[in-house]
Amino acid sequence: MARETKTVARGGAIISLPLLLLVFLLLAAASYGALIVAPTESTMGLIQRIFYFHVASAWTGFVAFGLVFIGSIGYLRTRSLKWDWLSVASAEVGVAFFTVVLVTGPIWARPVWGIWWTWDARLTSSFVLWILYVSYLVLRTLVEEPERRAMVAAVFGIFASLDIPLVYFSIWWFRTQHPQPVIGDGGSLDSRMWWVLMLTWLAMLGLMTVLIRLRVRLEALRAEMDALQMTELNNLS
Amino acid sequence: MVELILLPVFAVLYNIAVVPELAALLLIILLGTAGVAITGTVFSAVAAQARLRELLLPLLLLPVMAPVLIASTEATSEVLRDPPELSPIWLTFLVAFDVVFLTTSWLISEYLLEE
Repeated sequence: MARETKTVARGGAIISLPLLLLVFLLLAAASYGALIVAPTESTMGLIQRIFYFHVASAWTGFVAFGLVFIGSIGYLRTRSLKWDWLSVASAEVGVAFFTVVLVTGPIWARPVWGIWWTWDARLTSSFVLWILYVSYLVLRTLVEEPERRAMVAAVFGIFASLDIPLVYFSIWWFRTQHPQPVIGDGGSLDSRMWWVLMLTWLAMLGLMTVLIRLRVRLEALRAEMDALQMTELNNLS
Repeated sequence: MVELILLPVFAVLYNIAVVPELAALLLIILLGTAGVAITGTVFSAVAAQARLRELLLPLLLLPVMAPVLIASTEATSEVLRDPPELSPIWLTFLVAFDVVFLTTSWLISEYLLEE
């Protein structure tokens, strides 16, 4: 029994019900906003409504990858595995959100551009970013010892996040040569559209928080279990 | 080194006049090679810690290197265009990449190499 309480304490409290409810309500409100409240875009029509989820997921993915960076630096600084748990949780959640981006993008592009995918700078760099964090997760599975895995992953996590701004600078320059009519919607966005986008982003951020907290807790429990197994083995021998 | 040998060979094979733009090409080659070498060194050290390291290294390296490869090829194609129109963008980008990655690997190497 004593062990059990310790586990919960170490893993952090289970996600609180109010938070879950809040996120659920936000998601419902965001869906309502995106599908019903926001005005239909004049040239693209209904398909444009996927934009809210697409962009909100992308921003949320960036936040998650930013957390990987923070977790990586935190681990190198303190050598506490808790930072590493944050990194792996954020990386997995970030990859999930970016998968949403890479799936909703083509769904939108097919009717609007007439093609599913093109090797345009922004698309390519998002894809490269996704690959980066997938390989981050692959790297983690290939190093067994927790401390060493955390160290190697932290180094890779830092380098991967350095690539984010570099990749995005290259687009910025690229765009000056080849202006893309699709992305230049920043200034001409209808205010209702802007609010719906912000609401969706907020909902996505909430979802991200819940998922990361659950994932960190899982990692903590896993570490606890490994430790218990080690003591059992030592007792046996 | 290999690039220095490859350059004349490709110039002859593809019938491109490299000589007038040699200085710019050499600069691009230098910066690009530095970027590839820096990332290659760091990620070899990372991959060396893992299982299946031969398989892992290209998987880790390719996405990280992608900006260098893109920037160098873009810069080279601009130089070899007729007339050559090298925009400073890609060179700045290469320099920025090299500087950022070199600094970071210098900061991180102490963690990476301790065992």
